[in-house]
Amino acid sequence: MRRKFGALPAGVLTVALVASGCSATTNDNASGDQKNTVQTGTIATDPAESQGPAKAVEGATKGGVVKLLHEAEFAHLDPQKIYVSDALSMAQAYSRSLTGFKEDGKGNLKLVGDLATNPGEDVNGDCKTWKFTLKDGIKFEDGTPVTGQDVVYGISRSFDPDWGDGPIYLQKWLTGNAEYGTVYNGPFKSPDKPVPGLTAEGNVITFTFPAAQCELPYAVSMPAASPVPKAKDTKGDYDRKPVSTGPYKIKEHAYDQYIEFVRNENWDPNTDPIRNGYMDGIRVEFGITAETASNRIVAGAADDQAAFVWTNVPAAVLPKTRAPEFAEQVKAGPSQYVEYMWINTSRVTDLKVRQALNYAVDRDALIKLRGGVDQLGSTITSPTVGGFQSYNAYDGGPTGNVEKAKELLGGKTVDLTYAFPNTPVRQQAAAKMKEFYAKAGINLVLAPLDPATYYESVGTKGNKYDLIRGGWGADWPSAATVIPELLDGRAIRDKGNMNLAYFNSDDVNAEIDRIKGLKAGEAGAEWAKLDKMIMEKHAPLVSQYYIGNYEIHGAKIGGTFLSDNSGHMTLSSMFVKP
Amino acid sequence: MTTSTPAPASDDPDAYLQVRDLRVQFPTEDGLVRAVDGVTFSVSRGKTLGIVGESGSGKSVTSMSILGLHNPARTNISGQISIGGRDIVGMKEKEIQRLRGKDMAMIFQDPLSALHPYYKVGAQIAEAYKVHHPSASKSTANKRAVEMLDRVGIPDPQRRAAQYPHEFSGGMRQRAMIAMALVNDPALLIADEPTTALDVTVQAQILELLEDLQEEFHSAIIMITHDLGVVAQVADDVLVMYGGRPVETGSVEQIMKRPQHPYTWGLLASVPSLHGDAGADLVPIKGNPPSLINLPTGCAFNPRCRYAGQNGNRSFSERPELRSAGEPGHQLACHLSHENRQRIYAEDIAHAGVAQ
Amino acid sequence: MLRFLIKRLLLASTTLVAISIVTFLLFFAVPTSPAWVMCGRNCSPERIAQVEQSLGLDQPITAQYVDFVKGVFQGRTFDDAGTIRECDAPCLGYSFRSKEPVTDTLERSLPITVSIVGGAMVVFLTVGIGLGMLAALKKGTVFDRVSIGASVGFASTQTYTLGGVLLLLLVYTTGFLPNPSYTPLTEDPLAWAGGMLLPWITLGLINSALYARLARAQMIETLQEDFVRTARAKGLPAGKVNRKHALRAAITPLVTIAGVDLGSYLGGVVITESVFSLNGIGREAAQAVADLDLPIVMATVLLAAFFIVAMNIIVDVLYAVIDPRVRLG
Repeated sequence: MRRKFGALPAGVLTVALVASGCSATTNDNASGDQKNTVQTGTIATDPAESQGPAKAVEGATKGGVVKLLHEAEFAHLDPQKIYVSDALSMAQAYSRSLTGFKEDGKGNLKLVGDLATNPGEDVNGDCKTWKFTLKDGIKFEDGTPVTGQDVVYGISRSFDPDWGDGPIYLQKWLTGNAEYGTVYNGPFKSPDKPVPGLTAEGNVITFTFPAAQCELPYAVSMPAASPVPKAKDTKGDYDRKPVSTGPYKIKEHAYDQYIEFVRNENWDPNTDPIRNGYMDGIRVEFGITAETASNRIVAGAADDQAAFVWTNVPAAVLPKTRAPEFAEQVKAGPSQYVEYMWINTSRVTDLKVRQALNYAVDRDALIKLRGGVDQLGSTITSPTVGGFQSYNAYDGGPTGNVEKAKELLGGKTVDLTYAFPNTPVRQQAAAKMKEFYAKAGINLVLAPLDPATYYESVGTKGNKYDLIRGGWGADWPSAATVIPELLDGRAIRDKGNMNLAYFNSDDVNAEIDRIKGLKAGEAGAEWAKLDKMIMEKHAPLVSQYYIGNYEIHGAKIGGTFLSDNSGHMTLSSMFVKP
Repeated sequence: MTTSTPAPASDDPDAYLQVRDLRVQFPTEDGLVRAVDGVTFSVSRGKTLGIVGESGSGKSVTSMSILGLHNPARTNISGQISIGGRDIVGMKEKEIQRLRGKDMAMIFQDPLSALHPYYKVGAQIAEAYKVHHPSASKSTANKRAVEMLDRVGIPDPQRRAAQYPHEFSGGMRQRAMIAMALVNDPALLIADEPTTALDVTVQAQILELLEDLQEEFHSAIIMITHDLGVVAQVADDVLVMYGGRPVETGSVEQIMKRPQHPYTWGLLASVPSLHGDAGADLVPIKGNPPSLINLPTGCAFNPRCRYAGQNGNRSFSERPELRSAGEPGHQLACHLSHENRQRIYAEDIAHAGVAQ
Repeated sequence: MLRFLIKRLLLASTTLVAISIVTFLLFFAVPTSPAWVMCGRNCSPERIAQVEQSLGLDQPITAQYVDFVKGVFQGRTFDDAGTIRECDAPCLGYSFRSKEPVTDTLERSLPITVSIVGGAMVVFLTVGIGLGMLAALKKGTVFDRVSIGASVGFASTQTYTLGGVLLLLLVYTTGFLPNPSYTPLTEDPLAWAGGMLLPWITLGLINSALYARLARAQMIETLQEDFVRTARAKGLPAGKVNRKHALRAAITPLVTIAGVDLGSYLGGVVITESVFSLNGIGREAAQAVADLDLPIVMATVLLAAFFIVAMNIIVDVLYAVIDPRVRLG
């Protein structure tokens, strides 16, 4: 799972929102800010779709510099280390991968070849051998042509054991081993060894996997599959100033202070189906809190009119941004993150109790507590995932159905322990949950845990918690990075579990295997069916809400929208109004 | 200067300084402080008036009034203070300022705190000169300062002028203070307890210096002190104050040799003789000085007076006026009859032998 | 004077050494090793051990401290995932988060803090002391009451509150002032001052209030002094008495307080920096604490200690310059 930048809203600020009279009635289910776009993602089959230049944005003009007001320095800029949503979005500016997502802001998201001429060729039709051919005319920022070897070198870097911050799909798939470090350690620690399963000849890159990996076209959309010129690899320092293949390159990076991106003259728009590259530059300023940044954009001083944020507008500033004049500047929608209450099925074995927990949940109350930019949840995967189907297996309405829950419990009352990280935000939510579950006769015994060791505690098999706070976000818009990762019971280990329901059911495991064998484009609908089946038949969790994104940009910015892939406003189509 | 010539202390129309019916009051939150409540005296050039009293008797307030140092916004002053023919009561601050330090100067009790700790002694004296001689150059002012230091008996004045007050001994500091006061050749010098902070031998030197300088500059001097010993040494006339009012006044001989007021007797008894017997038979006046907000009715001294009530009830109901004590120039404010005083003085006081 | 300086410098270095030892010990008391910061999310315990070894973290603490001290005087090298990083003297450590010697980080953030504090000092010393002095001279008047009343009000507000309100009023709503930001003074003095204006005003107002009250009390006390009376008795005009005689004496204790304040402010004005989104030393330190970037934490603590110790010495010397009675020795 990738982490979302700034995912925790400040708990204290919600008070201000309630006091200002927002979301006062229960029928207003607090999702009014959202254009409810449902993802229809596919993989492009027509190679023409992978060709540049990107479709022009209506009314867009070239020039101008946009300013990202950001809370803190990016965790990483090195493409092989990036995994947090803000840096993933930033990488769009300077790092091109084999594939990429073409979006139109209306829910149409298509995986196309970015550096490659297409989103990958499944050579034998068994998802085990994949071939990518680089387009002509792709260069690094210094003008050196990008070769297949550069891509292989780039991917090889992600094997380095010291660089474990990035995604680990390719490493596991190529080695066929979850402990991939036992096989290969990257170019620095195993300089003379070849990268397992990965070869390049001229412009052609070939992946050979021991097992079927039908999701590869998605996996190589992440910056981890970006080329790195070996001669220019500054190792640790590469994280500060990576070599660009995208429309922008780093001119200056003062750590913790600012980054100045300028045009990369060696980027050829005719090779790029995704990025328009309208702006002349991007300036990122760090150390500006979400509140300050939003206030500044709302205030709209001259030098903030081309500013934008990649954090949610905090509750204290929300009311101002709901004014009609900001309608164009606010970009709101669901993210790929879903908030769960896991039900530990090894302890709560009675399905009726699990169903009752699903009926009695007052999602509306939880969303209001957080300021009201989230959407009512019900499914395991988020609406941003390809093939998503909306359903609610236990529809108790936005505020829950206590009677139905009581009926399922058959007059009993139950005591259940609820584990959550001991932070103000989670404490508030836990208190609220205790309150509404009590109405249904479910008594939550609250177990606040040290946030630093939280996942260690709840991820240990045999822990004594009945209910566990959790959340998940897809790495790419496919349920393949959600359902198998979370609910394949065969992966349950002694420690470090992500299946916090400790759920293991043969029927589900079999379905997972079957769908994994399907082509990436066809799997979406099947995952959606499995999603529904798991909830109806097993109810291993309560999907509380889809975490909403609510970002704002200055009046002079146009062309941007929330990406269904990163959850943040896109840079690709952004432009500065004259 | 312990002259035996009787001189009118209170009223000489030709005197350089004339104070008539001076009243100084400070309104405070607790009430009106009557610090000085009707004082009249005069001092001629070349003469020295000793003003004697305990703290709170109004002697320092009187001297501050003469220099016009009270904040007019917070002080009610009435009466007349005439200096060389100019009445400074009600005079504009700007004009008084021109007189201050030039026509009248003052020496303070504690020279360490009265000199600015951060400035060199010479500079402080030069500043006093310069303010009244705006056209004088800096070097002239400095030269003048060194001259003055030399004149007041400070050895190596050139070097001393460049030192800070804390580098001076107590007596030296007071000499420097005197140098500063006299730098503009003032006609009136007010010395407020100039020797109190000094040890006995230095005291005598300073007093001698003042006498010498008075002869040289022919200035009028007001010597404010609680120490009748000092008065005996330098004063021509004496004014004894109590509770803001004069209680006895006369020539130094009259006051020292033939004191008539029980308060003066008390002061005399509490002062060590300058001629030995130091520490012997000192009798402090019992009780504390009165509150100036709420003076005792009748004679202000009555709560502390051994003889109060010897003349009927008048001590407690009627304030005694200043009247002739018999000899010309000798006046006092006391309800005791002349005979009674003479008897008490002869029986109880004279043998104490204070006033030699 | 020289003896004093030598003595004080020796004492100061001892203090700094003691503080460095204490922070070093704290560094070790934290249950997270820098290896975690380096190694990342998917790090195995074996790998952690390897990284710790390459950082010398497996050495006894005394040996590590010696390395640290050596680094301060001679510089040293760090092995960051196979890359050898030079850290020139004075090397205060190497941040595995920002991938650079700590001194580089400080070099970027210190000018920001110095700009904030320096300007704010000028504001609150002139406004605060000026106001306090005037109030003392006009003691009891309406001016005195209003200015002191207002200063009590300002002194009881927090930077956080006042800064927020001023931001809202002067920047967001009216656009009267530019956004707080840092531009190097050498680059564009006007932009530098413009971006610093709001922090200066905020910090200035709050501290002016404190200094006004202090200055007023000092001045009232000094005006009672005998030497002020002497100055007036000399016939000096009131203005000269107040400025040359009273002010100079009244200001001395304020110099001490201002000096000590300056020392502690230079160590970082965390809240001011946060409110105005300026990445000075204080914010760097706070961020480092959050990220467990211990070399930065340690260096900022040492830097703060250094400023406080240095300002104390400077104040003592200054004191001797102002007040000739003070002998250094």
